[in-house]
Amino acid sequence: MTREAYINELRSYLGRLPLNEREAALVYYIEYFEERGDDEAASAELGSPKEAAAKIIADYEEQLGQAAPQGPGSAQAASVGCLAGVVLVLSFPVWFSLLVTLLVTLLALLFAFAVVGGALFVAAFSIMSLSIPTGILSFGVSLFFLGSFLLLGCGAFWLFTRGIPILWRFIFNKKKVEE
Amino acid sequence: MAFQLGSALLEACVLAVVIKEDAYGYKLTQEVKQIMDVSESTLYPVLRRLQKDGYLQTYDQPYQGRNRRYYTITPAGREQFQGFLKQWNGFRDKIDTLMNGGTVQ
Repeated sequence: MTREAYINELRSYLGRLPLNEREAALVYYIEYFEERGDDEAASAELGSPKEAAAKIIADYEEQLGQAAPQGPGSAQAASVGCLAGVVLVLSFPVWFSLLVTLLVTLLALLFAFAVVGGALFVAAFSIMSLSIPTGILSFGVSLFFLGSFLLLGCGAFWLFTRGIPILWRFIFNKKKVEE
Repeated sequence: MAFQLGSALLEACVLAVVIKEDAYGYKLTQEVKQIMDVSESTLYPVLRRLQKDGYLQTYDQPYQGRNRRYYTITPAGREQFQGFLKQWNGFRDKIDTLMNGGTVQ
């Protein structure tokens, strides 16, 4: 494996770690490649990026687990995390239906914006032949709707691909503290 | 090597190497590898842990246009090493005695 390929893969597997931890680990591995000189030999000796990352992450999380219980407020934090979990489960009917409503509203808005924007955009051409100012107005309004659709769409995309994993980790990290 | 060497012994060996002379990551890895047959990827977590525990410190030094990260032992690290050394001597004597047919007190 080439130096760049190895380091890039390792960097991505270490994505869970805080930035300074990740960069410190990469300094070691980059240095190893530079000193070794032979990229193929180096990557054979280091093991796969996945394995190397697993060891680094395991060690990091072990240290976290050791540090947390010693903190004075961590017992409280653990019980808060537990309580939060229980509340979440019990209030499931409430927040779940709210969530579904929000989701449906979001999708409806997206759909509406797309349809109105698209239809108006197409209509604008025929309006143009009747009255230029009105045609231009129609274009403008259609672009507003299309733009809103894009913005909302990006927001929804971010929410599903990034926001929810972050929320997930937030909930489950609280649970890890009590271990 | 039939005997699996535990992580404490690995940490002790790293400290033993660094206490003689500051060493950069790659060189340190090579030296430890001569004593123990550990995989190179095992070594970084050990180095990081020793740093976090305050036994090692790092500093960077450029060399031929690239960067070398040197590890140096701290006073706390020296103390820790002395502790390791005592434990090792005791352990080694007991194993020696036992293996050579004697009884361990």
